[in-house]
Amino acid sequence: MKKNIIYLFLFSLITLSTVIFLVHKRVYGDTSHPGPVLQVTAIIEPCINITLSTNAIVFNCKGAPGVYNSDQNVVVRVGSNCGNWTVKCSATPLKGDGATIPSERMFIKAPDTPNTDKGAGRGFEPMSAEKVVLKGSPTESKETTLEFRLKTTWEDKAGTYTGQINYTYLANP
Amino acid sequence: MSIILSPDSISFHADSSPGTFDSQPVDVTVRSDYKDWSVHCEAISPLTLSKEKNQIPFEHLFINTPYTNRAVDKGAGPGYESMDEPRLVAKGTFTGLIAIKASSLKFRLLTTWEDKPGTYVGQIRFTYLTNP
Repeated sequence: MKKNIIYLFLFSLITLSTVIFLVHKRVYGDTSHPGPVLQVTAIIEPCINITLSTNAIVFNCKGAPGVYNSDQNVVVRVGSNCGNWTVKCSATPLKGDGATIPSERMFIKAPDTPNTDKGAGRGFEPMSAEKVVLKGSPTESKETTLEFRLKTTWEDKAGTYTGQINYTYLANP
Repeated sequence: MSIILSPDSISFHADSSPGTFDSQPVDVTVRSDYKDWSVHCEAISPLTLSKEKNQIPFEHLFINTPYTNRAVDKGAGPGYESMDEPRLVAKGTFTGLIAIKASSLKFRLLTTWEDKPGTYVGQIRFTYLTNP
């Protein structure tokens, strides 16, 4: 009996000590207090990134006048964070030594161009005006492959002609 | 105990293709009467596009402190940890009446093509633990 009382006393003592310790820690130590707040602002600018698989194409027109393919196709890759975007391309006339080949005799074919023949084969459209080559929404990467053709005539003087195909984009955030 | 942040606001300017962008560093100055203390910070509201529901998640906001592991790269460079959980930023002992610079923090934002253009706002709350 006496032994049980001693055990009960010791048990009570341990329990009481634990409660006191926890209450003390709760009141005086390891307490979390609110501090200042840091205001954070992030400005994300509209961004569109266009890459081309090559920065030059060549038409080797070595035979009689006709339609010639470019030496390679052009893969256009676009990444954009804008809600809607459109990439267009346009061509300048090809200029040689005192002569010019107008841009309407350069032709372009994209996967979604109409399958009609406008003088350089089915699906090829003259580059007399700006052409939409790709449209999209926010994306890491979207791509298309463009094919180009040049139509020559007997009036085109022999020589080297150069020009540019310019890519532009329109974005709506 | 008092904590002063300098500056008390930061900004990120993502002006190029998605990637990582740094804000200004933030100095944490502390004055404490407690024997032991520690300061923690936690993102309490995700970066949210004004008047819209678009958000940049906490995991894309990173912090570099004297206590982050410099050997680990979690997508924003070595030593940067994401703010998807509270982070220890400073700890120390009694400072008396003098405030001390306890820590210097660097913040980094990871953007993706999915983050719509615009101005996002959010908050990081600092808290401290004390032990007399």
